[in-house]
Amino acid sequence: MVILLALVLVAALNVSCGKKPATQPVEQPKPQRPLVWGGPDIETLNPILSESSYETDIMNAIFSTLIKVNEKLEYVPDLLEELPKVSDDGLTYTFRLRKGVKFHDGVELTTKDVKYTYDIHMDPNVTVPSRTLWEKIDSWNIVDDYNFSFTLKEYVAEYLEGWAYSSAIIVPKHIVEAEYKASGNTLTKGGEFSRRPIGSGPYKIVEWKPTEYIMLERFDDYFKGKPQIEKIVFKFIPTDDVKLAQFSAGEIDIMEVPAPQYKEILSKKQGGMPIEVVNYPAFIYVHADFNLRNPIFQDKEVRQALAYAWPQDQFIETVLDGVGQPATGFLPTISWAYNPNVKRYNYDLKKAEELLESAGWKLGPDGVRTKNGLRLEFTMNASAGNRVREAWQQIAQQEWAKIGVKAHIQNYEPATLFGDILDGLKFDMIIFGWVSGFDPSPRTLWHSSQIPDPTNPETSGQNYPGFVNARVDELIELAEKEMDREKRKQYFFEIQEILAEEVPSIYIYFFAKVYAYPSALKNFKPNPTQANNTWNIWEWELQ
Amino acid sequence: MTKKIARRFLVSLFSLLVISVLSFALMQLAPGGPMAMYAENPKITYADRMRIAQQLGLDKPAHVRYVIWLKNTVRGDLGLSYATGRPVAREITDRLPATLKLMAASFLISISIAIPIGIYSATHRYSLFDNVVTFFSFLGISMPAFWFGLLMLYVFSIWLGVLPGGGQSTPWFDPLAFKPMVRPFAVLWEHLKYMIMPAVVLGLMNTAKWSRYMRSSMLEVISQNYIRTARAKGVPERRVIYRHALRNAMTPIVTIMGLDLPSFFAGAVVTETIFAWPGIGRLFITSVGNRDYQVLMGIVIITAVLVLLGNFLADILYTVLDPRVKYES
Amino acid sequence: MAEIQPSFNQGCNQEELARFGNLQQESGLLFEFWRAFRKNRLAVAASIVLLIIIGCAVAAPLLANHNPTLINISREHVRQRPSSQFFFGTDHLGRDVYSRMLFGARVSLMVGLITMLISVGVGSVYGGISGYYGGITDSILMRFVDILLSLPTLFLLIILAAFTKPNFFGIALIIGFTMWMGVSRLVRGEFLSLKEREFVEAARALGFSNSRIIFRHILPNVKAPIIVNATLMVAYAILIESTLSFLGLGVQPPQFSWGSMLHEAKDLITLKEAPWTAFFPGLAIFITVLCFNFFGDGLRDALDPHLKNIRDK
Repeated sequence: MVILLALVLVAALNVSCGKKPATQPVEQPKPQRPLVWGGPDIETLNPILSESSYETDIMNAIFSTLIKVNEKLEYVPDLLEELPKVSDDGLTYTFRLRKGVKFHDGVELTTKDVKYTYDIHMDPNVTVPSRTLWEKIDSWNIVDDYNFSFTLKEYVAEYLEGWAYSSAIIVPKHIVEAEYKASGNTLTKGGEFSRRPIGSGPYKIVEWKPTEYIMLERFDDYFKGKPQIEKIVFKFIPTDDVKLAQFSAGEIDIMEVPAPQYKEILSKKQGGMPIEVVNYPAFIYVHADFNLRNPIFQDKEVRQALAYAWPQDQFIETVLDGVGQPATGFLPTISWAYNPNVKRYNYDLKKAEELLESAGWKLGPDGVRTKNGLRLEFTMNASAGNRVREAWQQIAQQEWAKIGVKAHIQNYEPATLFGDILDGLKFDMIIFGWVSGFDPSPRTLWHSSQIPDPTNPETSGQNYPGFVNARVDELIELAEKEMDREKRKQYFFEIQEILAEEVPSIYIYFFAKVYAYPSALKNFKPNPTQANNTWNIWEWELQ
Repeated sequence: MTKKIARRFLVSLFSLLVISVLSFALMQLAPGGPMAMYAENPKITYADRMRIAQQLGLDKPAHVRYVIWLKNTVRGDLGLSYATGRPVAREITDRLPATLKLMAASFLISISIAIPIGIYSATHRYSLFDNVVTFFSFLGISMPAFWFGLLMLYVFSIWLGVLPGGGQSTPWFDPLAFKPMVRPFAVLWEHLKYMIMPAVVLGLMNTAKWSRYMRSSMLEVISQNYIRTARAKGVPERRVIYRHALRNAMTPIVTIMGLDLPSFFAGAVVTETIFAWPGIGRLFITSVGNRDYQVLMGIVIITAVLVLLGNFLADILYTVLDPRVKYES
Repeated sequence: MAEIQPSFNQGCNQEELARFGNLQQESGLLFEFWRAFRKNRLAVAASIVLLIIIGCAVAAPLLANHNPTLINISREHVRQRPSSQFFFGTDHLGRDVYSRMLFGARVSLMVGLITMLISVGVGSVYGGISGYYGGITDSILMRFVDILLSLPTLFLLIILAAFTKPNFFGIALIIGFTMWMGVSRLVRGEFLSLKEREFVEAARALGFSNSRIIFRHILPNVKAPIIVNATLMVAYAILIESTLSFLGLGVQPPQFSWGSMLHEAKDLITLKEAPWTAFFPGLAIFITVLCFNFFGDGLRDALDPHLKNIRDK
């Protein structure tokens, strides 16, 4: 210890006494410091196996997709010369690849890589987390190295969206196929392609230190031209506090700012720190699902009363520090299908009480309402340690007590909550977040065929509340078949109206994403879809 | 002695077996499973999850999976992580050096502070120094590690800006950028600056705790007859304290230290998270979240070996420190 | 029962040596004890403070000036500095920290004390038996402790969290269960060394039963480390209780404790903007732990005559 202290002292002295010109380390020509992004740890960089959006941030830099979604939510070509042509029946898509696109090892990207990407995703031996995009394809037509088309089994609305995301990244056939064969006709997250992937994107991987960082270096032969920033580091940071500390100390340049830190970061900017702060609505919303199988939630009035009886606006203002928007449904305001005129549940205890009275729920002697021997008493579950959701629970608990509803709080660590309580349908009310798609179809959430049943492995879907509504089913099916966006919009509007009236789940708030980045960084164009904020990383410049 | 050690070794092996069975069973009992991490993703259907479970071999009954695990482990193969697909041994060895480095540093800090302080406090009982030390050691004990960590982060990283806010190394650190004269110091500082805060935080609890034990143990010993006798015979006070008393007072401290070895591991979970230190603790937490049983079993086995080793060493040290302890079998 | 206390200056024969190990009982007169305890002013002051804290916890409804669970998230109410209205300020949900501290003391003190009793009780007996008998008994008992220490406690807690909704006694039981192993190893180590001492041999020679020797002769001599451990245990239990809420195992809202208050305030932003929400519960834990320690010191000295002699020197 004494030695250690002495060493510390020596080292410290050395740094502070470095004013002597001869030994001053700072005088040395400094290597250009990379741009550093701070975010959570990741598991794999193999786009075939990946299922986390943080992995997407990094994979966007290493790989390319056929198309991209830009910050205005428009499709733009990436590996393509132009956007694909779609046949009149909406089934056949025709593509023309750019010529001369190189993978990091110098091999050219052609249609055989595109077709192989499809083949490997459909390979039953590979643990692909999601095949939704690929299994829609019926047949392929490869014309030559640059021209190809495919035909879908049936019409799928907004089908192109999926081609902009990480699950549609085009992988190099010559690399992946070799690894596939070498590992006994499968691919694992532990494979070389997961750890040191070869892509056709603007950056190539230099180093991956587990749980520490990934360092990327620009790819000189990138098909859109050599990127301006030489090196980019993605640092893995487990907590918001360390992220804030490192950001304040200038060790990371870009980070997602959690709601509680928003003001702090803004004050840093006002205090002269050369940073920019962007705040934009995201496609993520937090909601409290009712378990509609529970007899006390059968009456619509009960669900409506609970929705009325909590102060949504005040909650967003104080608990979230204004970082977020009141949610009225499953679609955020930025979606083209967002219906601004659905029924709103503004804080109104009187109305809530009237609703409960009218439905026959009478106050009992202990202040809890009852009806036909049922007590209006239930338990809410959320992830333990999530302070925003815990705050909401406590506020709701207090407000609902005022209208004669007794709610208990029991929280679990996330794996228990999602793997057991949610999956096993063991909840009365459960609070968590969903990411909605760019395409608004809520099939997996609200179609009655999507009600999971743990005792029946044939079932699937995320309609955990167990919501059944024939009209909603019909509208979802109509919208999926419809090619005209205006008509689809009408269907989605009606779905939102029904859901707002029926309240199968209480919509709490829409996430706002806040990012802080250096003022010197140009062309940082945040994207609220699953394309994430690195979608145009090749354009980034440091001035 | 050799026979005793051999015997102890066999018993330890048996303990390891029991630990592995119990841990495996515990993990099976835990709610949620390795598939839980897919439950919140709306794109992944039940059918997808069942397919993934089958590919990971999770569809087999628990006892079959245990036997497979045991067979492979005996052959030195800890299997593949469910989450990353990499060999568990790789996942662990990638992070073990960081954790060991941190543990060693904080262990050194703890003993080199706690023992002198404990001795001085005991020999100068109720002096000002003793009371001040008592005050601070209880401050240390009642301050949760996460709080002390945050305080350090705030003061040294955000406010003073002298130490990096977590991590283990500078990704772009290049020793060649420094002149040869200062290069060793630059390299040293590069290592130390990241280690100081986590090592101090990890060592805090034990420093405070051990100094209390040292003090009380020392007090206990000084009051024994043989010390009184030594004093009465006119042995100089220094000699009484350092030759006679210290040796005996160390016995319980050594137990405590042996016992606290795994607690360093547990403490590492908190400290590594606060300071983004890329060690086993973080791997453990992530794996608990993912229910990555393969990695968890690996960590449990390695921790168990450490615990058994720690206790074994403590027992051996006993016989050295306190000749009265006979090691009968 | 009461006999004349043997003085150290007398020559020791075997019988007296045997009694030496037995002092606790022999000198157990309350008056004697109080006279010794009283001399340690720090210990007396600590006991008074502890009594005050316990009194506050009991009389919380009388002393509190706000409803401790009343949430008010209007801007003017959240994270207010300490003032004449809110003595210790308000937290992130606008609740009065002072009133919460008074009520929070109940859970924290109960959990701390019960945990300490459980773990020290179980640990001492277990460790004592193991150390005294030694040999194969010791090996088996200690290997069992090794096994328990090696099990991933986190999983045990996760399982318990999923299947139980514990009250504070349950929480204390759970924490106690994870902590007694340390005490047992400590006591066992002391026993290994003490059982070779003259007074134990003397007791054996006098034909005392094993249990009498363990509990009445040796155990009293292990008081010092046990008491130190016990006072620390109170602190750990109070702190561990706060981290359990991470697993959903701690007290669930609207219930709360000092630990959960501290836990709710654990981030850099709170540290910077509303330090009082963490400072006051932290201070309360600190004072309680410190007082328990001084009280423990006094207790040990009063019970342990030969230590008293040093101080009187």
